[in-house]
Amino acid sequence: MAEKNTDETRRRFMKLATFGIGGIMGAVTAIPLVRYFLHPVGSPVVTTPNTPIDIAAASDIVAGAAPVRLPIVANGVRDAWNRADNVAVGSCWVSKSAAGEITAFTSVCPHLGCSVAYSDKSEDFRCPCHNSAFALDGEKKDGGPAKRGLDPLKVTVEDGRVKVVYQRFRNDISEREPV
Amino acid sequence: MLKPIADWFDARTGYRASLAAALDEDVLGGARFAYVFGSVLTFLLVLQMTTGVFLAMYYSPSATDAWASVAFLNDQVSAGWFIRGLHSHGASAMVIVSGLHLFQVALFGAYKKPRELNWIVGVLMLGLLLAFALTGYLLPWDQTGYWATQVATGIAGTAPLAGQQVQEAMQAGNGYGNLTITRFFALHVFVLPALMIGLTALHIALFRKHHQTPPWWLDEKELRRRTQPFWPDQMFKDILAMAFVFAALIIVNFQTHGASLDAPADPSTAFDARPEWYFRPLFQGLKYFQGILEVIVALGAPVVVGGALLALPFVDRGPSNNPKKRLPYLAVLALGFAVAAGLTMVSYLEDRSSEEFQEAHAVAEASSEKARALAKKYGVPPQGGAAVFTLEPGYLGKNLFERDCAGCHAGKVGDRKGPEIIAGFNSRLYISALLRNPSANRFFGPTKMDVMKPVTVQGEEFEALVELVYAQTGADDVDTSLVAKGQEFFDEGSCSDCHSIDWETEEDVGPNLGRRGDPGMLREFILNPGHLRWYGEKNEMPSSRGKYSDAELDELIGYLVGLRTAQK
Repeated sequence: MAEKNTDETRRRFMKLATFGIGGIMGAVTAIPLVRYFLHPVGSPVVTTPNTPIDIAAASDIVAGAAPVRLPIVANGVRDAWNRADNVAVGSCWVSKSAAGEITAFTSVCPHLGCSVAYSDKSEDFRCPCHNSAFALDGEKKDGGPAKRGLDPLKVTVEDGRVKVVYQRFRNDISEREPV
Repeated sequence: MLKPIADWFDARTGYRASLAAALDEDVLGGARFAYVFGSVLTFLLVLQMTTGVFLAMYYSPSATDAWASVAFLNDQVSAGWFIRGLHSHGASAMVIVSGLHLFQVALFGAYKKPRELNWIVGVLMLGLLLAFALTGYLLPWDQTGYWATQVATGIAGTAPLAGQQVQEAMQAGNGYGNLTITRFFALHVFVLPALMIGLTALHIALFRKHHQTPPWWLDEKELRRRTQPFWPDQMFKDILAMAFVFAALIIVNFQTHGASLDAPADPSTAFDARPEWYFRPLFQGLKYFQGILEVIVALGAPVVVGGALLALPFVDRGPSNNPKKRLPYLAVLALGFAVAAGLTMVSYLEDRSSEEFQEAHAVAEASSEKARALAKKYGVPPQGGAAVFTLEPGYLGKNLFERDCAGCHAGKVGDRKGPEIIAGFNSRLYISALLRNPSANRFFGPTKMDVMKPVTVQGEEFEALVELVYAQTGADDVDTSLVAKGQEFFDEGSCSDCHSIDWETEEDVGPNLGRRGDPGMLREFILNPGHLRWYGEKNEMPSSRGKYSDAELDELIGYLVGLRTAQK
């Protein structure tokens, strides 16, 4: 009887110890795995240099004409382990006012990130996904789910070349917050 | 509190009965540390699968991306080195524990009837383990993996009859590239794990059917008396062993700071590759054979070893489990192990005492460090891992110089045909040495322009002349008042008898020294060294007009200008 009791105690200890040791081993493995898994959260994995990118000759953009979509082709684009040149990172809608001022809107819809198109018929910007509409000055038109107007990109003209600074902004909020 | 929930689940799944069936097993003769190896291997297998899945979250199986992605996950992702290190060292641990497992099974005679099939399954699993190691070694696409695996597939290529076809099937094509890596990757993460899981299940099922092979030194009665339940008695010993191996693994992982990662695979370089340590016996053994014998040994040795292991239960059919009565078989096994261990040791000792290998190893380490630092700083170009070196500032210019200029302007006396262009070129030190002895071998000695008399003036006059010539390079640390004095000495002294220093004057006796060594002058000079402003008819250097793009020329000039302040 006494022997049976000590066996009981011994086995209870072994059971607890097995769970304890197993738990520690699990935790020692899990902690680095979780850190590793979450590494990309909040870290700039894909980045485009914030220097102005040449998109066109200023003379090619006709004053007063309908906006044109121009690709934004960047150098030094980082994507995790890669560093690449001549990467098309996005596009923008460019127009020139009668006064000669050039504006550029990123074609990323501020609602959920679809690519905004220009409609010749209604002479405004339309998002094909959820029907948000934007005036030529980028202001949001009534109706449609977008919470703000199109996002302008910073434009400079140097030596007759149009350059924009490429940026992405957070979707679906009324403020304009760079990502 | 948990009991009602557990009851609910049990009523619907019957998990308690299943769990009991899994754990309630009597260990005849009692729990032993001798029995832990199978459990430890199962633990290691789970660890390999877990770390492997997580590695795959960052790994990209392509010839251009693989190295970069591994360097990224190893050097930049949080705990990446730790996970990758566990995976790499975990494979070594599996090989070691498998060896111990095999040894224990052989010692206890556990391969004997009715357990022959389970022994065979075990041997097949050992083969799978080596296949895992072989395929995994290539995946980082670094120098070691690339070259060592070339040897492995090369061996397959020497096989009789269909060797070439076998090699092409293994490497997926006529050479190493994207398809090699996708194939190895698919084998390593899909095919082999599926087979391993299947065989593990079979191995455990057969084990559960036949149970442990009890110690031979206890009789039936004693075995029954000492019998203990698997849970928790054996399991407790198992988990202690697992914890011990895991702790050792973590210690080794910290000491080595994870797995090594060489410079990216580069087919254009020479590399002294070594296989993983457990392939060393074969690697070393092959050194002793040449020609057809090499082929026979390379392909034959694994077949013989595998065949002998598979045949063991059918050869040793005696009823006794007592090792003393199975000495010949155990002796052959021990001999095989001793030969493998001996070859491994000799291999490492040879490497250690070989100066060439040590040198090559040091170069490889430096190259790895540089590649990884560049990858971390700039990222890797899409052309592939080895292209990371092109991101090093001055890389292109240095390469162009080494390719096109170094033959005449660097290297040994006798090979050189022009003034030496090395670190310190056009520094004050260089210029003063040049002025003191223009016809020295390191300056114009090897050319037709070896006629200038040494400048013999002393003190400030000499310093001022040096500063004047130095100022032509456009350096930003020039002493302008000293330059002005230098200009006076230049005009008044004998320098101006042969030289101008105004850029415009042509057809003087000696070259015009104006802007000597500044980027614009270097550009003009490289394109037209025989211009009358400089050496005219005496020039022997070929013109590089049309040879370089503007960008290349800029890089080359950048390199030449950079030498002025470069350290030797």
